[in-house]
Amino acid sequence: MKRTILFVDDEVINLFVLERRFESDYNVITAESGEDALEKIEVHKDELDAIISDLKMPGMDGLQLINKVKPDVVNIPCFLLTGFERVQQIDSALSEEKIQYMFKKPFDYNEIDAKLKEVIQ
Amino acid sequence: MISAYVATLVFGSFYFFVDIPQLHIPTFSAFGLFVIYGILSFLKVKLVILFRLSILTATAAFFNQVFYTGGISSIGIGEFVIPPLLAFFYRPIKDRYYFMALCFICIVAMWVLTFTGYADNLLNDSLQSTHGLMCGLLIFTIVMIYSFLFRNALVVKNKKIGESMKKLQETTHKLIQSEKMASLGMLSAGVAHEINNPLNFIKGGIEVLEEGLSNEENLAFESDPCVHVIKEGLDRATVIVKSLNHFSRETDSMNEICDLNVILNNSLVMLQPRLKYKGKVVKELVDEKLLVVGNEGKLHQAFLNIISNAEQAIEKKGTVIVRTTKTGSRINVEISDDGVGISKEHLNKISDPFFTTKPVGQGTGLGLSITYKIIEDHHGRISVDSKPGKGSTFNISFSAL
Repeated sequence: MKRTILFVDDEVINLFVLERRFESDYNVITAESGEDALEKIEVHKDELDAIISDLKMPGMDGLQLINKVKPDVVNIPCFLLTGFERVQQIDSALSEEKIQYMFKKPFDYNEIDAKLKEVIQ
Repeated sequence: MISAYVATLVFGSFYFFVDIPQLHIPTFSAFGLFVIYGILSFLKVKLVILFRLSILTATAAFFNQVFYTGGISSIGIGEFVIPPLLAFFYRPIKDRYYFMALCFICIVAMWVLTFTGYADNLLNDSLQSTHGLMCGLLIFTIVMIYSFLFRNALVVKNKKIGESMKKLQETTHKLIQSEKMASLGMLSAGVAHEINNPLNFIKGGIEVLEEGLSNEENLAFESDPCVHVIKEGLDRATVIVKSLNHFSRETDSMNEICDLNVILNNSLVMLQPRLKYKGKVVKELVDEKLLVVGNEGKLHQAFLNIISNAEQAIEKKGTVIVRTTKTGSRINVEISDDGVGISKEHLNKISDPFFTTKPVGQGTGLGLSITYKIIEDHHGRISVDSKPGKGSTFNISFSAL
């Protein structure tokens, strides 16, 4: 059975590329903002296997989103996509295992693929 | 000093030959004193004291000479111009005024002494004209020498002022450059982040394209969207790099023709990585070229500073409005934010160099002072309107090309 993953990024084109890259192996759900993601998580919370979110987004950022839904709404592996910024909160989120891993932009799609396989299959 | 030796010797000898002891004895005494001062100047005596003594001696000698050669009606009265003139060549400056006052008193005293009949004329008629010539020559020579010295001193001073001005200009230029580099540094973090996204588009696009094309069974694979994504990535990266290029250009030319709409657009592109987390940017640019003559790089720097300040003034969410209008031959740019605003006491300090309310390490305090300088260099006018808690509006206007 195909696993379901949620991509969150304010860059629609990034979402498009991620969707095309992973749609053959996964059911891909996309959200364009933290708020949008909250709604989609609510709808798909039973089938969702992983969340991969951009860190910097207008409005709710990736870390806020994950902190909000994990572990109360969903308790699944979460990943962050970040630029080169190294925020204190990321470190603590990593150590608290709120997030599994963070991918640095420009990211390696194969690395994301490998990590996803390792964690959820 | 040499002129003092020559004058006392010539006058002393003259008076000696015509045998007027009341004149040649004091004149030779003055010569003797000048020689002593000359010797003392080689010892450790303060020069100022020697200058003062010399001038006092000369004044006394002049007074004696005028007193015995006809008082106030003697040509020698003109010699009282010389002591203050001599005092112009050393410090303290106050001495000039003291000697001016002293000589004025001497002239008045001489007038009184002449009137009351104390002054005398010991020269007989045949010597009168020769003596007049000598006095005239002395005054003429001294005034000439000193006016030349004055001129030279002025030329030297002017040269020094010119050099300082040049240095000041160079330093200002360097300051503008380094402020630019500092703000470039602050921008680069955001810009690098912004270039990451288009890089991801390209990378992802190519990967999907490769996979799609390698799978020969998948006939339904559409390559167009991938190509579009790659193009979009390239376009975006190009825009960012181009705007950076405009900003970092290093020319001094003030003859470039610049379009303010383009400059404002570039500045917004550069600041987009920061602006998009702070809410909305409203852009109301007139639909025509807003051409001014000046330096493109510097204008970029100026507007980037103002828009960057607007962004920083917004604490959480807000709106930055960039508006351009053209009325007649005047171009107006209005940049406003609904951020924290500037208090009244700070408002008249914002253009001062090194004035900043930002925490140490976050602002140089040079941004706005340099912005004001750049706008002034372009013959523009800049004004700011601000209310604490409500936001600020910067109005900048130029005369159009």
